[in-house]
Amino acid sequence: MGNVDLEHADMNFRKELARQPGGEKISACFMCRTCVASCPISAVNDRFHPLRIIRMALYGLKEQVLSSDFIWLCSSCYACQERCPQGVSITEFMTLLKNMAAKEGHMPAGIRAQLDLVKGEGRIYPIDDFDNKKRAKIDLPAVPTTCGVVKELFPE
Amino acid sequence: MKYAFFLGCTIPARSRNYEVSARRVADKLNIELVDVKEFICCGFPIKASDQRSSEIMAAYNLCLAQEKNLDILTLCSSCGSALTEAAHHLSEDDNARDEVNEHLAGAGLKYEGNVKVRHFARVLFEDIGEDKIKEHFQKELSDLKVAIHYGCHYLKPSEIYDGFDEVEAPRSLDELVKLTGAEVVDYQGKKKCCGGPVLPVDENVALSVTKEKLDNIAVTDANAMCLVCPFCSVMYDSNQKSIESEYDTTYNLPVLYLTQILGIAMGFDRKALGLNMNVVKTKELLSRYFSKE
Amino acid sequence: MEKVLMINYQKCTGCRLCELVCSVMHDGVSNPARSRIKVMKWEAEGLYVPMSCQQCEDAPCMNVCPVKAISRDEDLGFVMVDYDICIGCRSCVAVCPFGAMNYNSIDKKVFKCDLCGGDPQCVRFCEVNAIEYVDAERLSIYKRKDAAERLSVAQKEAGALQAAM
Repeated sequence: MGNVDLEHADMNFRKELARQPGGEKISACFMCRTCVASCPISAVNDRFHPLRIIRMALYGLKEQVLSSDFIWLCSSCYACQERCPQGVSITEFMTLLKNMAAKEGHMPAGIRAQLDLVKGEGRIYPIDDFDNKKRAKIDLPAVPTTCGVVKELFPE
Repeated sequence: MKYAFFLGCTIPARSRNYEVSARRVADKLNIELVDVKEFICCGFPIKASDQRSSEIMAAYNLCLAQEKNLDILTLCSSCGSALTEAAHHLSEDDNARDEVNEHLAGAGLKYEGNVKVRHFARVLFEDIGEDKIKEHFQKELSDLKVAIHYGCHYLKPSEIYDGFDEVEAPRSLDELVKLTGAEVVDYQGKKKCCGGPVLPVDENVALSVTKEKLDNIAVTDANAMCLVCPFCSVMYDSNQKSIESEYDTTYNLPVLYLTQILGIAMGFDRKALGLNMNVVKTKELLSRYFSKE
Repeated sequence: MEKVLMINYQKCTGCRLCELVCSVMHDGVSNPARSRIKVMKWEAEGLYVPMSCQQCEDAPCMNVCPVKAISRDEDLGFVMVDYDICIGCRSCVAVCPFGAMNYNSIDKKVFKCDLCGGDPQCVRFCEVNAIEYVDAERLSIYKRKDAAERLSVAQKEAGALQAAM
């Protein structure tokens, strides 16, 4: 992670976050580490540390946070958010960061593939005729193999 | 009791055992499940990368249920959370609903904000009730020692689930499993995540989260796991073998859906509950509950 | 021109980000215990008072130091410790009337506000401007302005009340 460099802090980052759902209350964090103690990812991997991410956001380290790979390690299990004594919506905050990162083009390949698949095909596991054959064998109804409506919901 | 049956993506493609057993159990309990062919992905998988589009997809599905004047029943906890969250948000926030409706207009729809979303397990626990379920039981599942995995999105974020169960001390699945005469086994980290959502980001991290729970269950005398989400099943059932070979260990822990456990107690046979499709073999564990086939 | 920290505790929300950035700036770690500025809290009353060095003119810490390790910086006018001379006796800690001289038992050193060399980070990061970095000479003007504003508001209210009677 390296040393914290406040020199290039983006002083608007906090305000930008505070305006969006999930980012409103991060300055209420008083560093009790309940989030870290509750986090199933932190338990197995020290690259992910919710408190550190909140602090980096408070310090205005926008570029470092949004281009990081560690924000994507959040499994969005809500354990931290349910337990935060300060009422910080930590999981929603992580989602906000990931969304902002994605908008700036930072996205793991697997996440990008899912996004393209879901917005393109309407399903994360598109169904083919073979699937329907297997379904028919156990008396399950057929599921459509194509999905046109996504083009209407997300034009061009 | 009648619901629009939301299958999602994973279940019809990869968890037909969950679907087939759920349909059997629902049928027995007179819950009518209406198939809606036009349902699309709930939006959950793209919430991290594009929350707006995620909500639009969820709202589209809510609209389809609205057209049929039905509430939605889900089997998948992730679908349940994405749809419940959208339903919750769009019923409270008129501006958000207007924004979403601009997109839905492209498909000729308008969401009014009144559809409710329920997980199947919640319906069983809250609406059907113990007595009514028990009436249909034919077998006592003694000797079955079950480690229950609640998963995350079945209960969280708590503010969208009307407090139907307690996040820090959940009991709905415990109660349902106990009805069958099976024993519920407690274990360390019972409330923890399966690691699934991290799978497309970092497989090693995801599988070590999964492994932690399998390890914690292995030291108890549980002989099966119980789930209510196909995504968790991908981690514990489909990936159990690869964790075993990666870490040079053996669990051989059958992973059952709640609906399969209830279905066995109701007297359905192995095939009717799709037990032949579970990845970790269940035959030896469950042989005592079935007559010779 | 000499500048000082002007703390308006009525604006402070108690978020303690000043403490964090202070420790990051000086020691490279997020650790409020290493902060030069400290927010004293009375949670029940919603009262938060950030406390830091006043850079006193006739500084007790400077006077009490038995080895003359404490002096005043010529350019920025802050009171500073020369660690080559300091013997760590903590006399300065004992004598400071504001509790602004701190002691770190891990580094075995006293430490205090050095105005971050002219760009105080507590000021930079305070969202509500509870801490400002202003010309020492003009300190009273701000206070005067504030007080005058309150007075004029009070007068207007009194006038309105009278008119209503």
